Order: sequence, then structure tokens, then C-alpha cells
Amino acid sequence: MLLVATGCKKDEKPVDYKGLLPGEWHCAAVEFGADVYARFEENGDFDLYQMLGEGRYRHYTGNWSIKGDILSGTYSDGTEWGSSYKMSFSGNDLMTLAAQNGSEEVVIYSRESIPSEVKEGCIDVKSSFGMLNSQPQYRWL
Amino acid sequence: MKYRNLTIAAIVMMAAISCLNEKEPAAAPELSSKEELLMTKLTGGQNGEYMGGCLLLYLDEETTSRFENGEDVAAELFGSGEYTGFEKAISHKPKNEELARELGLHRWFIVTFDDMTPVRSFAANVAVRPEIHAIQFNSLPKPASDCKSIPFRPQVRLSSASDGKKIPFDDPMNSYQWNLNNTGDKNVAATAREGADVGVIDAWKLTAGSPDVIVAVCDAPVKYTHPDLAGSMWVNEAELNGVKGVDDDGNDYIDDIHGYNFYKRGGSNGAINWETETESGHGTHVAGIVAAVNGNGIGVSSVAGGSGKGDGVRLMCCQVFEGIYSDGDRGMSEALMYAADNGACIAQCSYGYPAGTFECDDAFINNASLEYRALKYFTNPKNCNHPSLEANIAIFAAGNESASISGYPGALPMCISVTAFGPDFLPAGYTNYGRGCNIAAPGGDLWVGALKEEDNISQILSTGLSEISGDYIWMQGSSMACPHMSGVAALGVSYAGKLGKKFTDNEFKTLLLTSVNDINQFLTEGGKSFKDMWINMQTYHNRMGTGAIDAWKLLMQIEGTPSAMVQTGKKSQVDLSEYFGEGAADLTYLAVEIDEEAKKTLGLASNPKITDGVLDIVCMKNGSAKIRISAIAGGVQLGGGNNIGGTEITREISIISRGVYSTNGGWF
Repeated sequence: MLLVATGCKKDEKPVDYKGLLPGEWHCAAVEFGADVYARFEENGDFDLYQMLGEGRYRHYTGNWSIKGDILSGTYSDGTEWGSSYKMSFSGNDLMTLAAQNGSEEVVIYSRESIPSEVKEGCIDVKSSFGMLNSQPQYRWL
Repeated sequence: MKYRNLTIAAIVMMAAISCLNEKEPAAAPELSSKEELLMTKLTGGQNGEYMGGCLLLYLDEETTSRFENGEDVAAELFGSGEYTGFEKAISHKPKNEELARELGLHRWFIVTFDDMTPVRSFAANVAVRPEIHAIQFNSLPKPASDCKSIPFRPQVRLSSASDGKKIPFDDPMNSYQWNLNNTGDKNVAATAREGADVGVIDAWKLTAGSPDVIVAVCDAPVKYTHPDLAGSMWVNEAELNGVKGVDDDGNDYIDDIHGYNFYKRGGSNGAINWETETESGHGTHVAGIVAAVNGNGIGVSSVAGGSGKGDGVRLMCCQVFEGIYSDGDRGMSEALMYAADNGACIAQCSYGYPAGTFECDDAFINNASLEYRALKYFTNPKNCNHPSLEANIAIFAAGNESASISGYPGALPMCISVTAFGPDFLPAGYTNYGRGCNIAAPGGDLWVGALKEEDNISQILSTGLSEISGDYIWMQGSSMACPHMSGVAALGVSYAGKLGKKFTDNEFKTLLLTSVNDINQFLTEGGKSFKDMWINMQTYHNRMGTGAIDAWKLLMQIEGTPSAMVQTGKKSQVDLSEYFGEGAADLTYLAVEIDEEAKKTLGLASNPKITDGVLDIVCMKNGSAKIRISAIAGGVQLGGGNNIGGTEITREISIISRGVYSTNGGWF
């Protein structure tokens, strides 16, 4: 994972954020023992595959939207993302998402295909599980 | 052959208990009478049933050495004509002799004498000998089942699960096995609950066992020729391909192809024997729950019987009962040592002493000193028989006296004690519960059955003896719950091996005891029938162990432990059910440990606290660090010493403190 200081970059021409986002992205958050893949579809759907210590990826789905350079989204269970993100791109293959919730968290993603073993072996998280709710419900895919 | 003496005063028990410790029974002081002297040396059995015509004796090192050098010490000790036999209690040479000696197992002897001689009288006479440091009556454990069986016959057609789950093997009787896949069918019980099973359907997609995992079935005989068991039997190849009557593999046991019969008094010479008048099929039934061959097109399915490709776990028959008879502590002890010496990593023990026979751990340790030492031998890391484990695992039935404590040996913290529930997820009326009980599993419950008794399918269907009642039979008891736990543990070991993972003893037991579904939610009100009684479910609340074992959850935990994500700068609450099972809210937590470096990494202002299974934590910095949480699996106090209680379990949890937090755990 790359957590970096937010920097300003002067764009000299309009960026086509909606055109650049679709595709598959990867973020290896080594210091957290986390590994995250995301796929953004042109139709506004997303798939998120994350592994945070467990031995198998958990699969979330939902919808995304862009207003200007701000990316926000909702999980399929109706839960809002923890933050919206200010987007910036370096070429086609690096994307920086800067959290807009005041935390100043910035994460860099690289464009990378999601390995088939990640998708095939994952656990689908069907419903929300808040901090005090019960465990996620699993479904074998 | 059996004597019951319930007249021994409590003070005598206390004297017997306090005069010994597990390492070295104390030498007797000079006392005036034989009876007083006996009290100082007597270690046990007198509070329950014990075998007549024999005593177990713990001799000093010097006399033991003289015996080993061929000297006739028996004549010195007992006088000619007073005894009929004298030999080592563990008469066969242990593989790990150094450890056996370290545990003092070589110093236990068995002396036999006329059945008509009162055991206590003989014991009092020999207690005067200073060479005898301790005397143990040869206690008689019992199977944890009523041993009643009902033959299987085709019955009502059961419905499939609402979620479409079904047992993926072509064993024709498996639609009746609610214990493996409970669809909530009301033909099983009017109160049946979908999912009240062992949670193995999805687990089978990851593993259905492994032949390098050997489960020792310490029980009545396993019919190794049974068509649904033959393919799962452990095979001692050297003996199979050797010469009959010869110890081909040099393990000191002759012709032990699938195991051994430790009931020596029956005159079997070690041959596994299920053709006795009093045989019930108990051991064969238990074995079938663990590993009847899956996918062979006949009979039943099982927890760890493979996927139909000969890839299930293996069953080692350690016969300790022949019909209703056993060799008591001696036979049980030798069986455990044999299991350790010949490759078993799980001891499946659906037997025990009735609840209340021993009041606390120390009472068992001192009263069944030989068996305790044999358990230590089996579970010692030096004798571990699987690369994914640090130590072998001993699993016992909690017992069937409807008592509020577990029977021993299961109640010991070193063992796992298994309680029983029925197809309604509720405790079966017969099961022991409470202190010393660690976890629950399906054991069957005749009294909630929807059909008449001879058709009852609310019990557990497994393999049986055609010689007695049928190749497939229904039985119930914590005896039946125990092999479910052993089967799930065997699946866990198989999967850990497949992933190349290794766990410490505490880690693996913690995984086993926290891979559970909550049953306390059903134990808040109401009741159920048991015989002619109505039993209140609140009685069992938080007393059935940590919850109901779930195979899928175990395999997920073996894969890895999910991190707990919290939001930096805010008070966060982490639901511990992810780490301690669905019963986390009802567990007793012992400690939260976090080192100074981790505190610094996370910017912890104060130590995290646990309330009702929820960890309260405030992290002021982004980062990741590990914390350790320990709890009691089974009850509110730990076992050991003068207690009967639970086992300490410990989870290490990674805390990820981030600026972004989503309530459903998603990364974005």
C-alpha cells in the first residue's frame, strides 16, 4: 500500500475521469497485511476483492459515481463508502485516491488484472455487518 | 468383577488426593495401622466402579529396575500364593521410552489375585511395603452412550435445504443424516432447525480428509471389515504383509493390522473382536461418524471420510471395551500410548467416568494417575504425529448423566469435552453440561423425534454391526457428539497440512473451540421433553461450551485470521465473534495483551477493554499491530488444581487503524 502525502498537481487540460476509471486496479497494502483489487465497470458497477489477514479474498459489490474529480460509491448492501475520494491519474496506469473525510488518507492503485484465483476462490459478502452486527454471511462462489 | 464402595469418607478422599502429586507419589509415613497406611497410598477408583481381582501399583525406581532385570520381586512384595499374576501395567515397550520413563509410566504394575479377595483388603495388606509408593484401584470408565441401537430401515422422504445445500456424495442413506446437513425437516423433529448440524457441506469443497491424519478410535471394536469402513481403516502394512503370529513391524504388538484389542482379560491376544454377546456396535458407530467412506455408493456419509477418491482420514481401532467389559484404567492407558506410538494425531474417546466420580482436576490426576500420565504421553509434543500440529489432540465425550459438570477425563484442560445437541440445536436431555465442557456437537435426541421410537430419526445414523442389529443403526449420546468433533478436528488437520501450515497446541485448540455457531440464543426460555421430564433451556445457557462446532468456520480460520479495521481518532468497537465464534458475547475473557511497541504504532491512549464480547479501542495513529486476547472455553473459571473448568484459549488479532472506515468492513 502506498499512503503518501497529498500533493497538488496542476492539470493543463481537462481529465476524463469517467474514461480513465473503468478497468481493474490493485493496491498491495503490505504494512497492513492487506491486498485489494477493484474492478470498475463503465456502467457504474464495481467489484472489490480484499484480503485483510484472512486467507481468502472477500468480495464486495456496489455502484460508483463521479462528480468532477470526486469518486464516491455505495456497497450493494446500501452502506456508503467510508469516504469519497479525490481522484488523480498519472498516465493510464496509476490512480491516486485521496480520502475526503478529513483523514488525509491517500492510496495509490496500479492498473492490474485481477488474478482468476482471486475471483474464483473468494467469499461473497452478501450483507452488511456493522461493527456490532453479526459476522458476514458467506456464500461459496 | 465389579465392586462399588460409596462409603469412603470425604476425609479419606482428601487424604488420598493430597498424598500424591502427578510427578512422584510421596513415600508413605510410618503409621500405626494398615488402613491408615493404605489411605496415604491409595490413589483412586474407590469413589466409582472398579475392577475386582487386580490393583495398579506404583513402585519405587529401585524395585522397578530389579523387576526389569528379571528378579522375582512379586514374591517379595506379596508372598507366594497371595497373587496370581504380576506384570507391568503397560506391558508393551513404548516407542518413546525416554518420555514414558520421564512420566513414570514404567513404574506402574498390575497385580492380579483371586476375584473373591476383597480389593481393599488386598490393598491394605500390600500397602505396608515401602517399595509400593501408590496404589490405584483399576477404575472402569464407561461408554458415553446408552448403547441402545435402532436398525436403519427406509423411512419417510426428507426435504432438501431451503438454500439448496445437499451432501455431495452418492451414499444413499445420507438424506437421513441431519447431523451433516440439517434441512429443518419436521419429519426429523417438530422442532428441527435448519443448520443445526456440523457445518461441513461447504467445508468439503476444501477438504474431506487426508490419509495422513489418523484418528484412534478408543472404544468398543471397530468392525474393520464393514463395507463402509474398510476403505478408511488405518493399515499397518508391515503386519498386513507379514507373518501371522509375528511382530513384523517390531512395535511389540503382534498382528496389529488395523489396531489392537487392549481388553486382555478377555483372552483375545490383541485380536479385535466384535462377536461377543454384550457387544452393541458403539465403536463401529462412532468410527462411521468420523470416517465412513464417502462417495462409495453405499450406506452413509461421514465428516472426514474423503471425497470418494480414497482420500479420507484413517481410523485406528484401539479396542478398550469388549461388550460391556474393559480392562479399566490399564487398558485405556495402554491404548492411548499405542495410539501415540503408531501414528494417531487425534484420540477419539467416547467414554469416561460418570460425572461426579472426580470432583476436580487434581482428584482425577491423583485417582487415575496412570491414565493421566498416558494422556500426557499421547499429547506430549515429542510424540506429535502430524507436521501441522505441535501436539496430538485428545477429544472426549462430556458424558450422559444430565449432570452440570463434565465427566473425566474430558473435563481436564488438556482434553476437549464435547456436549450433545439434537436436531433442534437444543441440548439433549441426557448430555452433561457446565463446568469442564468445552464445545457442542450433534449427538441426537430421541425425545424430540417426530416418529415413533423404532423409527426415530432424530438420533444419529451411522455404521453398525450386522451381527447385532444391522449394518446401519441409530444411536444417541455424547458418545455420538464426540466423533463429530473428532471428525471436524481431523478435517482441520487435513486442511492445515494441505496448506502447509503449522499451529501450536494452544493455537489449534483455540481454532477448534472458536469455530462455533451460537446456541445460547436458543437457551433463554422454554424447554423440551426428556424421558418423563420437562427440562428448562435456561439451565443450559452458556453451559454447553463455546457453541456448536462448525467445520466451515474452522477451515476459514485455518486459512487466516481477518484483521479488525478501526477508524483512526475515534472510539471503535470490534465484535469479537469473528475471532471467538458466535458465542463471543458470553465468553469469560481473561486478558488483553498489547506490547509497548504496538501501543506506540497505533497511538493507543489506554488499554483496550472488552464488554459483552466487544473490544473497545481508540487508536490515534494510522497503522497496524497485533494484540492478544485470552478467554475461557467452557465456563467462567479455568480448570486445574481444585477446579473443574474450562480451557484457556488465545487469539492474536491484527488491528488496522485507518483514516477511512466503512461499517461493513469494505476497503473503500
